[in-house]
Amino acid sequence: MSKVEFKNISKRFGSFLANDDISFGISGNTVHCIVGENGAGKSTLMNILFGLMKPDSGEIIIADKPVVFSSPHEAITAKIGMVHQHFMLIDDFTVLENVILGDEPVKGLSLDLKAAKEKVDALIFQYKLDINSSEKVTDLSISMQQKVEILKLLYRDSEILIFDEPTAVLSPVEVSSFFKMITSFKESGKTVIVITHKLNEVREIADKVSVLRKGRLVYEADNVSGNIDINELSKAIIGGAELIKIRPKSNSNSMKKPLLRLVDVSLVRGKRKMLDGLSLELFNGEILGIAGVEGNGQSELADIVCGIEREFTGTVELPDERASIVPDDRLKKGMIKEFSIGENLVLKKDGNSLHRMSTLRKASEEVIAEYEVRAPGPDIKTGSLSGGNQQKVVIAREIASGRSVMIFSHPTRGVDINAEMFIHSEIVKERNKGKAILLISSDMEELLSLSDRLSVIYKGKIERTFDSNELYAESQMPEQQDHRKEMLINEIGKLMTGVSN
Amino acid sequence: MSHHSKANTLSVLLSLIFTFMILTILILLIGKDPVEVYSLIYNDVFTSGYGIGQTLFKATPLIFIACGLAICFHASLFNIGAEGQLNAGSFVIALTAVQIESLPLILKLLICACAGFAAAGLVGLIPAVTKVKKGVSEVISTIMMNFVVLAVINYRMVDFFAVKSTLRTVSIGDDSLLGKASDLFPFFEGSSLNVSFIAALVVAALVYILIYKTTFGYKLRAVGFNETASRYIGVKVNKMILTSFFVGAGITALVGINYIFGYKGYYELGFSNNIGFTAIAVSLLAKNNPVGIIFSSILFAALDYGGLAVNQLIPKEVMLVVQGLIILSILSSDSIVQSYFKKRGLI
Amino acid sequence: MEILSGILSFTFLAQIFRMMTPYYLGASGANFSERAGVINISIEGFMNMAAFSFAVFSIFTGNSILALVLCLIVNIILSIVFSLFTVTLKINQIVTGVGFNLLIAGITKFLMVLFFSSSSNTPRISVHPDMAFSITLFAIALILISIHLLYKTKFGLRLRSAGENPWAAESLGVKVMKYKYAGVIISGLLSALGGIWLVSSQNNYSDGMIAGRGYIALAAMIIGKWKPLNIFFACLMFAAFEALEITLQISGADIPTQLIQMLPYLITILVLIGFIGKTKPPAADGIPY
Repeated sequence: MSKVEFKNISKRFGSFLANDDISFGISGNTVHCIVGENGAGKSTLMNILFGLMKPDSGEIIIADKPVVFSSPHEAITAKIGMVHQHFMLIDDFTVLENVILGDEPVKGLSLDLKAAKEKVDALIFQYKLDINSSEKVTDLSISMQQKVEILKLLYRDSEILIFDEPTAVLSPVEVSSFFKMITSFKESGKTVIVITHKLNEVREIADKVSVLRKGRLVYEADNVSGNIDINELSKAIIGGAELIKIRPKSNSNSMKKPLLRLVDVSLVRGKRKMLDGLSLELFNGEILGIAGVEGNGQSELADIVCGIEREFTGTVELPDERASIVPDDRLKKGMIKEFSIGENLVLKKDGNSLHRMSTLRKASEEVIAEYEVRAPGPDIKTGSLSGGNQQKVVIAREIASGRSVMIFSHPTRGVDINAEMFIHSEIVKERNKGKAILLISSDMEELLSLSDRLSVIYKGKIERTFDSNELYAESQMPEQQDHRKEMLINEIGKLMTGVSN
Repeated sequence: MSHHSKANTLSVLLSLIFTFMILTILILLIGKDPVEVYSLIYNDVFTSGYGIGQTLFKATPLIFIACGLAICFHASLFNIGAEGQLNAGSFVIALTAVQIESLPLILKLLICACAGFAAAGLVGLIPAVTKVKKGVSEVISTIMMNFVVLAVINYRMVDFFAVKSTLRTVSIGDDSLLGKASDLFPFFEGSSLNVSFIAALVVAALVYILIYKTTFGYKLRAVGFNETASRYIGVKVNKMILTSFFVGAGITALVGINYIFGYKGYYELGFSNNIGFTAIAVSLLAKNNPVGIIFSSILFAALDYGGLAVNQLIPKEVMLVVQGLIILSILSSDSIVQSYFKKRGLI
Repeated sequence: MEILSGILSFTFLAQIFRMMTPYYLGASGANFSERAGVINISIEGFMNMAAFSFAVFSIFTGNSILALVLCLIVNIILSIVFSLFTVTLKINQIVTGVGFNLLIAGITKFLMVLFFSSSSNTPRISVHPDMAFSITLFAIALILISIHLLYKTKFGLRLRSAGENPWAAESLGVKVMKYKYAGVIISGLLSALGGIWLVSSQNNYSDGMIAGRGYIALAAMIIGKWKPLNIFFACLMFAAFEALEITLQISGADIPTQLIQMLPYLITILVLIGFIGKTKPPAADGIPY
């Protein structure tokens, strides 16, 4: 009998199908891992379970009863607890205050802080959390803060504990003590659901694993004392190696010179080391792909190269003042959605000049024609375009600015297949013009089909760089090529998830 | 007309209608006849040359200040410090004018305007610098700066510059005063309307072009819409904050030209009478559009002057209530209309 | 010498405590509102409204206790409207605050002329003789009341959570909106008492009598780092400036009083820049939820 049962869950955001008819069960008293790439639909599924979203169709059954939560609070009342990737803590409060908020013991008109402390301290002792309940959260390390989140669940007697990427923020030592904690929860009769990317962790803690890809459940396996097949698993996560088509490479005869050079770059944000002595070189006329699980320093790398982040150590050499960037979130970072296409282009201009309506309109029309933007007219606000067309506008603007180093960060995220093909051909075109391109993506197919070289980033460092000989061996038989690609993807998957050593 | 401008027009109309209704109810409550009150306002404000002249004269400072503020507001900078900025500027204008009394008028005007602009601009630069360097919210620092500036002026004034037993500076001399409108058009006989009104219109036109037609303006509004995206696109956000604060605050100083060169001939403590705050309402009502500001300034000035016209029926201060109501009703109708349009997916 | 002995006297000290009253009431009020995440720069207007309505009710009912109750009701309504704008409609809190200040200034000036045919003063009001003193005592007691309410009760914990991280609070079942309304209403009530104190101690209402006290209250809240006891000391300091200014004016000493007037604001700017310790407002202060 399943403790939690997902039945035909579907969830759509616009044209994007985040969950596509997902059905599986989670047995009570087990650790169940849910794995998949970013955008595979794991978080959506958990948000549905936790009452943050409602499914378009399908239902959730808990202990044989169908349930519908319309808020996290209802889920909490039903003894479901979730530790988000970004903690939901109040920094200025003590551990105790954070834990009891919303469910406070009261004596007369006042809080019964003594009773609260006794209860919380007893939980801390029982699960060996080793944390001082009177300390302020802002003074705690990330791993301690995670324990506060866990305490919140224990305080509310949660029976189903959901963890979203719990180890992404932990050091190796902290990870192993976290695993001990997870085991002790299981032993005390709780059901633990862990969303993760890291396959060695799956092998270590999971009783069962479900793999999601592109919103669908694609693979399930039991894991008895670490016997799970990691190769099978990583293939299931990354998927479709056979789809990869290798693009014509740039003219390798031309003189190569490095346009971008990073030496020993480190960056600390808050209490986390985001980049840890990262070094890389990027040459003219090449695409350097950066593969990695999100949160391993990719966006910080992009911020530094495009000149937004300045608080780093180490050296960065660039031919221009800053590199051009097509950022990962076009609405938040990429464009002014209240402006038309032409008006967005104006922002790239230096100096001060007058702009007439007619010239702006002409600029819009040129972009619309050249980049096949589907827009009802040249004056339309970019905010009203579809995702793919917005992305084309951002790319058009960045290409027009003429910098020799360009960063493409998740350039085809959330765009339709036609826009994707178009964007890929634009990236290759720019590369062939001699630009140096840094391509950050979590889409393995995209990386392998575009990159001339490919670096894997893990925990703020380049773990390994594959040069073009390693990526593409010419004149091989088709079967041999397929086999090679499979090996390559396995290898990259392991590097990304930290299994390799 | 785009849905955006439809929504804007609708919310402005709604708020004016709402305010008008409340005013009517208020007049009825006092036991007066609204028709009589309104016709009195109409006759006094719109049919006599003096009334029109006074209305435009009172609109002049509002146009200057609101245009200056609009620059800051377009960058999402809440400059609540116009009161201090315009006083610093006007004070410096009065002092400068006395120093260069012998120069020809046009030169004197230019120098004074520049000096005033710089003084007000520097006062505005302080909260801008603390925001850029230390992340201090400009709201609190501009409010505090108002008091600091007024106290400093008060101190320098009383001890050094004031005409004995008054709170004003020495006069800049009668031959320094600007031409009155009535000199050319006897129609405006008796009103204080002067050349500064034309200057205000020119400033509004220039600020309009600056905000909507120049690279600077596009970057300014980009920062206001989305600061993060602006940084990624490569707009120098900090530079924009400093410049818009300096220019915006600087423009408020031109109020001093109207008051000192066009009207009194000297700077007097308390002359501004919270106009720096009223101008916030004027700018908001016009959606921070300088052309709209001309009209909303005239509306506020007409209310102000209309209050005088009906004073024997109802206290003229009723128009202060009306001004307050306009700002609150425009805020709420904006919020309601916007969410109505958004719900229907129109904007 | 004369000035010095004047400053060191007991009456001068008593003066400081008296003058602290409207500052501390306003600052505590602003603090409750900001702790719930709503910036209320309309404290000045709230005080003004209360001072005026208290004066009017006193004159028309002849009973200052009844007037106090009616005045508090007026300010509760005012606070609810303010919350409607800032919390429910999520309109920018600063702009709303500016609007309220303008509207209230207009209303009071208008009604002054309408009721009393004077734009400057009401007639003399006979206020209950213990009113001002009782309010001062309450203001002092408010230190302990605020500390208890904010840190030792369920209400305070939830109110603060609304200002620090409303998303986290709501996910734990805290009704964030309710606490934001509560914070603003408390700010309305406390600033009302500040206004009433001014009328009680001057025995009339005059236009402009708040004279920036609402803004000084905000300054005290910032310097006091949003903590009740620290805010109290900041208010004492500002009250001492004011008392000093008056003493100097009376004594005719050759010290520019304008510069003393300026000190609260100047100190606030310096504190904000970080010259005098670090300040940190509630994490979600001013952010609509």
